[in-house]
Parts: sequence; C-alpha cells; structure tokens
Amino acid sequence: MYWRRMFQDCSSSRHTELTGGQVTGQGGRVVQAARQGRGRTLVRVLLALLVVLGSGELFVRSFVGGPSPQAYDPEIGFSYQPGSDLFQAKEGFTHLHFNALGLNDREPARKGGRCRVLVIGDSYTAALQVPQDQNFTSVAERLDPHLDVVNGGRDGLFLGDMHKVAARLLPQLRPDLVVYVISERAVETDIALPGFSVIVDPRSGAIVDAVMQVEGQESLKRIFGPVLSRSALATRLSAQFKPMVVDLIGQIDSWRHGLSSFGEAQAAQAAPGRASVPAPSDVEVLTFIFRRFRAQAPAALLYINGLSYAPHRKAAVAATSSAAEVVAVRAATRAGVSFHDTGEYLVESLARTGQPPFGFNNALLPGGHLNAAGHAAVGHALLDLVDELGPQLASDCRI
Amino acid sequence: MIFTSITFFAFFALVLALMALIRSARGRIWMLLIASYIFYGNWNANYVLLIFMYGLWGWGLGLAMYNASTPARKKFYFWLSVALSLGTLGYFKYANFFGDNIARLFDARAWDQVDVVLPVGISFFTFHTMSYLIDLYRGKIGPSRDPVKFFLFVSFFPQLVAGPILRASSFLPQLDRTLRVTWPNFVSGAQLFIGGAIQKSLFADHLSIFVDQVYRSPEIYSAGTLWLAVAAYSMQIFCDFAGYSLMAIGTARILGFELPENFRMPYLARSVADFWHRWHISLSTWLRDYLYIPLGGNRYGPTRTQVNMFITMLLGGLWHGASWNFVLWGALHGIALGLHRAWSGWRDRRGRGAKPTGWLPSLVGWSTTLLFCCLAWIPFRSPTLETTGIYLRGLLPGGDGIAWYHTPTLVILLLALIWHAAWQFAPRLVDRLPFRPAELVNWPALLTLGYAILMLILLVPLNTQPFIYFQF
Repeated sequence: MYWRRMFQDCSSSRHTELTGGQVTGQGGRVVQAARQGRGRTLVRVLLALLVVLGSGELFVRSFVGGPSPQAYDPEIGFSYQPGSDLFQAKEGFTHLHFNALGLNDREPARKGGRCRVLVIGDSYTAALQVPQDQNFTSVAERLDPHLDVVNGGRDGLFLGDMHKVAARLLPQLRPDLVVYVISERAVETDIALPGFSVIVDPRSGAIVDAVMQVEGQESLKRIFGPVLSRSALATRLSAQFKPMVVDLIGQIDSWRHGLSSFGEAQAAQAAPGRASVPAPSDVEVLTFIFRRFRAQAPAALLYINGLSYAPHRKAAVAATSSAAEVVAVRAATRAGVSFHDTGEYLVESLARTGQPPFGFNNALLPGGHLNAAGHAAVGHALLDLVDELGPQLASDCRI
Repeated sequence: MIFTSITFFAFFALVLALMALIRSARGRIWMLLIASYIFYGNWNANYVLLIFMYGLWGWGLGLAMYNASTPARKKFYFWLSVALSLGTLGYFKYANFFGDNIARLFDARAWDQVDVVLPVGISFFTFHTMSYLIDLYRGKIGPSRDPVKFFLFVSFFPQLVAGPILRASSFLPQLDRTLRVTWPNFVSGAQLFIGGAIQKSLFADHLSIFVDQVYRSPEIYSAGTLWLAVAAYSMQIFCDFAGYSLMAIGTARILGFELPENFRMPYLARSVADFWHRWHISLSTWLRDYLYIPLGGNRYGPTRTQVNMFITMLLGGLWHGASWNFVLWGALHGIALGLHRAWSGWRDRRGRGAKPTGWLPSLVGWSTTLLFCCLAWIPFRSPTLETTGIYLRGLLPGGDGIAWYHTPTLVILLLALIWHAAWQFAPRLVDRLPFRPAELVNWPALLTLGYAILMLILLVPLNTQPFIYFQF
C-alpha cells in the first residue's frame, strides 16, 4: 500500500509491467503469464546479484586485499591466525604468510648460539606493507648472520599492550633482548586513549598498574571471524562499515557511561572523605610502562622518528616527533631502559637514496608507513642498538 | 549533511515516506520547506534564521515592488532588496578578507581579529533571491504571492548548498502543479544520484588524497608529480562539483522537480568561451544575464565588450571567495575570453568563420583550452599566492624533488579519459543512460547498476571529503 501510494503514477506510465496493474480484469491465462514473467525476472535479478557478488570477490582478492588473517584475542583485541596468509594493496602491494606463532616472520628456528632479539611494536614493526625479507628485522639479520631477530609486531598494537605480547612470546622464544619499537603515536596518543586507565595507589600516589582495555569493536571479530577469514569481499565490506559500527558502539558506550557515572556519583556521595589523588604526568606513566618492560626481560627502546621534508630531497626530524622523543627519553632514563632513535638513519637514507623512507606510490609519499628504504635504515639502527648493548647482555650477544 | 552520508539517506527516506503519507499538495510543500530548513540546520541551526530572512525580504520586497504606486518606489524597493542581498553576502563572505588586508596594510590589530563564519551555500541562495527580484523588476515574471512556495524556492534542499542556481521562472511554476513521486522519475533520479555519487566518491574523493598532499607542500615534489597533481585537481574539482550537481538533480527529480543542467563535459571544450558554456552553466548564465548584460554586454563596441567580459569574470572569480587567488583565476579567464573573442573577430573579418573547422584546428583548440583551464586551477586550489608561485616554478623541468606517481590517481585519470572519449566518440552508448524503468530487468541494466552500487560501497574512501563548492 505504502509504496503503491508513493509511486502513484506507476499505473499511468508506459512501464506498467512492473506494477502488476496491467493484468487486472483480464483472463486467467494473462495472470499466469504475468506470474511466470515475474518469476523469470526474480531469477534473473538473483543471478545478476550472484554474478556481481562473485566478480566482486574476485576483484577485491586481486586488487584490494585478501580475507582477514585476524582472530579475536581477548587480551590485545586481535592477533594474526597462525599459518594464515595476507594480501594487501592499500599501502604497497604484499603477499605475506604468518608463522605458527602468528607472527610476520619465518618459522622460529633453533637459537643455535645466535643472539636472539625479539622486536615488539605496532604497524611499523609488523611491516605489512613490505615483503617479509625487506622488513627491518630481516634486514638486521642479513646484516649480521649472528643475529636471530624475531618480528613480534602487530598493527595497531597499543603501548599499554606490548608487555602482554612479550609475556606470551618470552617462554617460547627465550630472547636475549626485547626491543620495543615506539613512535610519536605511542608516546602521545596511546596513553591518552579512553580505554587506557592508570591505577594509582591513593595513599602513596604511585602508579600500581596501567591497563589497556580491549575495544568493544574487537569483540565483533569473534562473531564475524569465520566469514571474514574466508571472504575478501566480506573483509572489505566490514572495513567500510566499521566506522559506522564504531560510531554506534561509541554512542551506546557513552550512554552506558553516562548512566554508570550517575551511579558512581551517587556512590561517592554515600562514601565521602576519600582524598583525591593528582593524575600522574605522561613521563610518570611512561616510566611505569618502561619499567614493566625491563622487569620481564632485558629491554631496549627503538624510536621511529617522523620527518619533515624540504626541497631538493632533504629532510630533518619533525618538531613534533622530537618533542615526543624528549618525553620518552626522560621516562626511559628514569626506568633504566636503553633508548635509541632512528632519526639520523632515516634522514641519511633519504640523502643517500633520494627515496623518502616513508610512503608508497599507491598511498602517501612521503607519509604513512616505512617503505623498503625506511626498513633498510631502521634495520641498520637496530643492528647498531644490538652492537651497543651486546656486551651487557647474555653470552650469545657478546660478540 | 553530505549527500553521500548515511544521515542523508535516512533523512531522504523519511522525506519520501512523508511524501507518501501526506496527501495534500499544500502539505507536501510545507513538508519540503521544513525538511529544507532541517537539512540546512543540520549544519548550523543558527543560520536557519538567515535563510528564512532571505525568503522573507525576497518575498516581501518582491510584492512591495510589484504593488508600488510609482516607479520611484518600485526602484527604491528594488535597490533595497539588492542592497540587503549583496550586503549580507558581502558581510559574510568578505569581512575576513577585508579585515586581514586592512590589518596588514595599516598594521591595525583590531581588524585582524575579524572572524566571521561563512554560512554554507549563502552565494547560492543570494543568487536565487536576486534573480527573482531582478526578473520581477524587469517585468519578466509575476510576483510569488504564496510565501511558503517562495521560501521553498529559496531553500529547496537538494540544491541549497552548492547549486545548480535556480531561476524563479523555472522553479516556481513547478510548485503550482501537484507534487508526486512517480516510478519513472524515481528510477531516473536514483540513477542520476548513483552517477553523481560515483563521480564524487570514487573519483573526486580518491583524487583529493593525492591533490591535498601535493598542494600542502609543492616545494618538495618533482615537476612530474606537480603536473600529475594539476591534472588530478582539474578532474577532482569537475567530478566533485558535477557529481554534486548530478546528485542534486537526481534527488530533485525523485521528488518530482526538474533542475537545470549544470555541466556538459567541460573538458571537451574547444575554446574558453565553449568551456564557459559547459562549466557551471547555471552560474555562467546568471553572470551573463544579471551582470554582463546590465554592464552593457556587447552593445557598445569591441573595447567596451572586452572590459565588460573582464569585469564579469573578475567578479565571478571573487564570488568564489575573498582571496587574491580567486581574483587571479577570474582575471586569467577574463583575459583568455578577451583574446578568444579578438581572435574569433579577426578570423570572421577575414571571412574564415569565427569557429575553426577540421580536425587539426579542433585538436589544437581543445588541447590549448584544456591546458589553459588546468593551469588556471593552480591559483584556484593554492591556499596562498605564494604557494601559487612555488607551484608554477616547480612545473618547470630540472627540479630534483620527490617523484610520486600515485597509482590510484593514474587509474582514475585513465578511467576519466575513457569516459570522456566515450562521450566524444560513442555518444550512442552514453545516451543509453539512465536506463528506463522497463529496461531495469535486462542484463545490461542489472549488471551496470549492480557493479556501480558494489563499487560505491567497496571503494568509497573512509574519510569522505566535503564538497569543494560548499565553501563558496
């Protein structure tokens, strides 16, 4: 009724076969023919839908990206499924295979007297944009065959979650050194995220814990995981619709938060007399996180600097990156964790190759993630870091 | 509310549902008026009052002018309406510009703090109101006695913020017949909307990723990259604006309205004059009818014609925004039009015909026009005159900047080339679109529309860009 009224002119138009109005008052044969016609149309529409979706799947697999290798992980949101494959053409153009530990690396081999370094970090470390043999962990291994560098990176891994990945991999890999790769984002954004909460002892004011809560949106991977791991089209569609879903979840969360804070306010009124504790500074929070790194295993920090570019293919470390680095260095010094940056290596790489270390022809250039030239530069930085720290580490690294 | 947003789809679905529910013609006009105000208020609720005021003085002064007992009174009401329209437009559009320039010239800091928020689409509804009042004053049309219809003319949501610019003479009569959503109009309008969305979301928004990055710091890129960005921006602004216009025309058609065509493949033009017959047609005809002709048009000899044309283009440039870059863009087009006119006149006097014929002259005309129009977009897109200078210097060979050949941009430009070639060389193929309702169940229609919708869903960039012409 609704639609018929809305499209009032249907019956008067010359395209009346779609309305069904044409058959009114005519013989049963006409009605039957019309029904058959409608049936044929429906079959044709369904066939067309199948053709479109099928070729859509092929198109996405060939030019956009493959099925998702991600699996829901209650601790860190998601991890890569062991033995899965990834194709992506968003930045660079790569086909990757994740090993039995779900890492973008070859299968872990026996240590065999080599110095083993586990590298943990976000997308800079996961390096999904370049072939596996071009990422900086492979570059460092190639530069020094005595090194066994394990890539423990995962894209989007928060600073507050890095120790969880380390705790999971340490018993299996037993590295001599764990290198945490951080950047301006980790230092400035990660610790300001709404899901990141710092727990402070109300009496001493000291930080007792810093926890990153798994984002609500990640739990959707548990529901849709089986479809996403099989269909590239579904993976792409989920990526397209994710912002809308995240907005919706955020909206629901804010309503829920509004209700619970009302409850908390009432509880606070019922239990007065609690002394308010001043919020810890960024340096204090970072110091706590870095100390936690050191408590797990010998640790070092490798900082990926952002660059600002000038004419004639010249670059310098970006001012915002330097400012964040100052904060990170202060925290690392307090925590007693060795800190190394990559600024000089990246700037020198541009001067030497004429190629920006960040960016790809199919994404931003310069900008975005490290490209092959950038990974080569960071590989050298990592090697120098290990050379510098080697003498202080276990016997396998003292060469 | 952007056409390609979920919010708009929800809003438009509600409007269609209300069109079905409301039976009376008057009720539907009221509903469309309220919907238009909600559409505008979604951007800034305070400025709904502004658009209401435009409607109020346009309608009130129009009636007063029509009923004026003496020519002097008629003239008074007319100039009052022009002063109100242009004064308001001038205040919102140019207060910041003058504030900045006065502050710079006289080192007056107080002027530097002038910060007026430009109401989205103010130029468009100012032009609607003015065209009505000028036509009424000239006696070309009668007055609109119904305020609701007039207010809807000023604020009709499909074209409210970026055109096409409406003329009262074509829009108001459409409100006098019964408004209906019909199946043929729905089918054709929806396809126009999809076509516009493809231009905007698949072409323009992807091109903007490359263009924005290059224009942010042109000094670091190679000449090749800068030339690619020139081509990319030329296609981006066309797809963005023509896409919006097509979506506006499609949305209006679904509701039962016909809006004027705004673009006719401008990059196929063979001269600058031809370009302006194809680009933003509703603005160029507006400027012709309400600025160029009142200035004297071509009635006072060749020199005066050239001056009139130059002034029209200069003001057309300034209309886009208060910036010396827009003035430069307008001036360039004014000069180019003048040169073209002089050259056509010269040919005509020698008996060769104003327009060259034959494939070689056509090819030369097309390529020269295309090159000129693309290069003229540089000041239009650059944030400052300084950036324009840097960009133009960078186009010269011999630089050693970063070479970035953005693959998606190259693919889109190739697709755009095929699209233009099809328009030029296979017009029959192009004429098959949009499909008629009876053709919808045929394989070509099912697959074309199926793929179009799938590509829209799959490849729309996540960071949807606002329409470029919203700022004008």
